[in-house]
Amino acid sequence: MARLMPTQAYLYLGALLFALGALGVVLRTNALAMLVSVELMLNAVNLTFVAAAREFGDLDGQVIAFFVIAVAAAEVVVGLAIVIDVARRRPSTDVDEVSELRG
Amino acid sequence: MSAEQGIFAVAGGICVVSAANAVLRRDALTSALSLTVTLFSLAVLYLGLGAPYLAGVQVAVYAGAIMVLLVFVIMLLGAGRVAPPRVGRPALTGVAVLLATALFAVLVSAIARGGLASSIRDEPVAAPDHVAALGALIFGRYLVAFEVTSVLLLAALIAAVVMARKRASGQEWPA
Repeated sequence: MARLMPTQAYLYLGALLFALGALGVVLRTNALAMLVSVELMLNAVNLTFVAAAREFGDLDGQVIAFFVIAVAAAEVVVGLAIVIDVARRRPSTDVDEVSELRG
Repeated sequence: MSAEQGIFAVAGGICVVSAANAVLRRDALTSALSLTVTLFSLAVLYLGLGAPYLAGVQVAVYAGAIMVLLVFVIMLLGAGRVAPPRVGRPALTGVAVLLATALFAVLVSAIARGGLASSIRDEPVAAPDHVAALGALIFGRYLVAFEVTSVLLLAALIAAVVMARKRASGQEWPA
């Protein structure tokens, strides 16, 4: 028998990380910093999933977190490809400079 | 104080500090490396939660592959181009902080009313055959999702090659 942390503590930590990530997405204008913030939000959700998996005593939450990691990998790959393509045409990776749809 | 409480206190503290550092620092490379610290501390939290397989995946895939890719691109583009010397927008900064605080308040109130036990309980930790059970679940009930994820990764791979390759000047998207 082990003394466990309450699940709520993990949920509060996940909420704090999610809010920090959301702050970064709104606050930052650098495309790479925004990607970092989105990763932070995804990880906050993952922490919540894993904590919920333990709370309810099944592994489904851990499986979902596993899939979130795989989808995050795909998201980063496509996002970085877009950043590289934009950086070839513009002086910086500031998202405010990319405000029109045509290249 | 149990082992898990110690893990939560240390890894959780590191997690919050490095996450704030990742979000608020101007330098993109500092942001990326701070996020790597956050990812490692989350892996430690997963260990405390009885999810050793996920902790391994977190270190190998997230802190390994994904962050190497991110740091590689930051280095490739050059720090000067990545972090332009620009003045922030104070009005928007206030709005952003307000929005994030409101989001946090909503989440906290939802968790507080969620009805989960808030006290420290005595419970047995995860079963020793946990990785086998996880594998049976992924290749059983979630088999279709697993295969769809592999197709998604392949599509992302092809998209990255098409978008990031060097095009001759004036050449448009392939028809």
